[in-house]
Amino acid sequence: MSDDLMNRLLRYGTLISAATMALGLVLTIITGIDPGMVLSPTDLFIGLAAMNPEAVLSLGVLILIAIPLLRVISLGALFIKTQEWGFVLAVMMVLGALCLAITLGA
Amino acid sequence: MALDLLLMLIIIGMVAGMLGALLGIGGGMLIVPAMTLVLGLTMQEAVAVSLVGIVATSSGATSHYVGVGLCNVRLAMVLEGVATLGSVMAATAAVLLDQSVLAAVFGLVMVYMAIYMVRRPERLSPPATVGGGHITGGYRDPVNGCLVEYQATHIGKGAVASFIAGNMSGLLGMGGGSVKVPVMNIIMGVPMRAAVGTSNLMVGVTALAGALVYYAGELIPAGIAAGVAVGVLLGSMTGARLSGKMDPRGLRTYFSLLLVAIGIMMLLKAVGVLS
Repeated sequence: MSDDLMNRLLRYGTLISAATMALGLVLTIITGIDPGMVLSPTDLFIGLAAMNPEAVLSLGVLILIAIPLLRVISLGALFIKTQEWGFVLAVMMVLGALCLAITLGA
Repeated sequence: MALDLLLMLIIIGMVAGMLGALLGIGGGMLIVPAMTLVLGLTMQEAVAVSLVGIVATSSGATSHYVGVGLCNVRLAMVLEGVATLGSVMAATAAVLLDQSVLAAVFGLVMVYMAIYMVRRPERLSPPATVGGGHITGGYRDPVNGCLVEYQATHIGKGAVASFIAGNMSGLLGMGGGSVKVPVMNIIMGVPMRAAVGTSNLMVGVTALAGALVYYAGELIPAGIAAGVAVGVLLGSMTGARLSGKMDPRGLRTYFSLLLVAIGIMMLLKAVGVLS
């Protein structure tokens, strides 16, 4: 992946997450729900089907935190393409630590 | 959610995002105390919100830094493996730690960072000796248009510093850029502009690791995190554009004074003087 493509991934991903969060915030103000609510990943999908403000907000946050993950995966693909195996190993280490984060958090 | 609360969240995020992009830090130094001292969130909730804000700072600013060639993605990935591991370990510990302990550690780190930011030197030329492997990089200087080429050296020392920065990120909701930028510049010989650009990419991935621990543990208050993140995105994009046009040294001095004041307030909160 070129720098230009990575740049576009960052830019559009950020814009989509910002737009989703902004929509969720507007819905939250209209409905007056508690901004401190926390949704589980399972509730997120159920809530999205019903267009719940909590679920829209959670989706926006989820898209935002997925951007660095996509960036790491795209760099891994770049290093495989250019056969820079040392850097591929570095990317694998990062992805391994992120998997550990989900396991420990749950 | 009330409109005044939303505006407050967006303003906190904008200030944190702009300073974060200008100084190569994540902005957590402002978000965590604002969440605990102003909004009364628990330290764990404040750290979780801050980590989401740091991801937003990184995403907003990195698209600019990658575009102008100031982000060394190879160096970032090599250092990020250990930084991410450090963040995961510290975030797991933070979920289990007492509120007052976290607030006290945060206050002490803030005061130390303030002193360090004022005193920190800047390396203007590459180091004389090359050791521990190296990674090359280059960019066109945004001020004078000259091509700047460099070798990042002492990768091992950089990895140790990145692990410590990862610990700070997961435990205290900071980006860790305040450790990464000076280590890349002074020890590894990376020019300051490239160090700030590379750090901006790294802090997003480090914060992601911590944020995943909190997300999987259902500890991120989505409404508050989204309000702050929207503000941070606006602030970080503005800050990244201003970074090539202004000297951050004066800003750093005023910011350090603010950090001392916030650090003292967090210590007072830790001992129960402030609620």
